[in-house]
Amino acid sequence: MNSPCPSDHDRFWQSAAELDPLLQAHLAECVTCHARQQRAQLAVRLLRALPAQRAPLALDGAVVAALHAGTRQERAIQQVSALTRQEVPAELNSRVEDALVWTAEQPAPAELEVRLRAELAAPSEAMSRRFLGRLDRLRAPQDLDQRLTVPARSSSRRRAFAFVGALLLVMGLGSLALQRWGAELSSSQQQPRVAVQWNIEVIESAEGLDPVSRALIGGLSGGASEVLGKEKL
Amino acid sequence: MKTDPDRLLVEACQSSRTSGLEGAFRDLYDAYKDRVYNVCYRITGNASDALDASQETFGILFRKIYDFRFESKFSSWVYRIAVNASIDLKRRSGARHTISLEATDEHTHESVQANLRDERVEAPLAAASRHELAGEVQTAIGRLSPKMRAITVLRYVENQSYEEIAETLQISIGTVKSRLSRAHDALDRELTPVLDQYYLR
Ligand SMILES: [Zn+2]
Repeated sequence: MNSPCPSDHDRFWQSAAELDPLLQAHLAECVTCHARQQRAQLAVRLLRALPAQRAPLALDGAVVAALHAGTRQERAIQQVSALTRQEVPAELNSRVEDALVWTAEQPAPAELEVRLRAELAAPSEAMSRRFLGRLDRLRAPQDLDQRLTVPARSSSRRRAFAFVGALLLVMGLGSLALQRWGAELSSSQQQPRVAVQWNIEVIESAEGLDPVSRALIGGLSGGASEVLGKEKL
Repeated sequence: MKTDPDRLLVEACQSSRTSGLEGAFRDLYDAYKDRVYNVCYRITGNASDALDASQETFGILFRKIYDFRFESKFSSWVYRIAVNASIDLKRRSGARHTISLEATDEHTHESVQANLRDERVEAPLAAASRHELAGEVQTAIGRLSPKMRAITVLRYVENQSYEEIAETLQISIGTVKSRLSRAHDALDRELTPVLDQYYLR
């Protein structure tokens, strides 16, 4: 073989007349290159033989429509650009200035700096403070008002008396029990043991108590029993 | 510079300022409509897009012809508008037509295969087969990138020289050669199976 296979296959797409003699000699001997060149030449012939497409009649109508649309658009643009330029009224300036006052840049309030310092000094604290401030204040339901207003003064007074009464009763019972227990203890040393008997007395006022119980309750209640005891429970 | 063969016609259009498809512009349209449509058809690959691209081309021509100063050949300018309109349209319409072309691809392969099984290399093809083969070649062109498709059409369908292609696409001769070389490689890949099927056993 005279020469090596050409690396530039693009040369196979040239017409036979354009090929240089060296390549022609190679093609005469190399089956591979010859096949490639034949295929390229066939492709060129096929591309050139593609049937010419004639413009369809529909193109006339489409172009006429496009030109009219274009002309209308152009005319509209001409008319708009031909409109006379209106002078700006002097009043507009002052109105614009007024409007701009509102939009002028607002300086940061001094408080911002204070808050920022606090924030940087104790970030977690500042954060809690911010969020606490945002918590919604809940309104008490109307139901609660009704529940609280109806019994009012009389019941609170009655409850105070009932409490002191109950206290007096307990104290009375307690002192009675102590007295009896002391008596039983002293007598049991000489006499045989007898069953203890409990006497429960219901009293209606502090005056009904025996002096020992009254003194005990008076001491425990800080004198309150003396005052309340004068009223009928 | 040689006198542009379209100079008189173009100047007639520029001086008349018609409002539609009439007078000198009608003559210009008649002179170019088939060439424009053919380029648009070969680049877009279908009649519907070719019609749209041709319409757009003449719309642009009509609006801009008044500013044309013969800095390039008028026909190159027309081809450039047609190529750009076709590529833009193809980009806009996307993959829609690729699918339809591939669908016809299979059909043509099957129908022609039986007729051509025992054809010898470069044996003359029957008219029906030639028609089918043209479809295959168009499909191969359609698979190229828009730039390579445009240069292939200008070179082989419109028989433009390297210089004319350079002027139409406004690129250098070197770029024409390298782009065309890449188009050849791509066409070789696309057409080899088709040629093998039609011309070899
Ligand atoms: Zn070789």
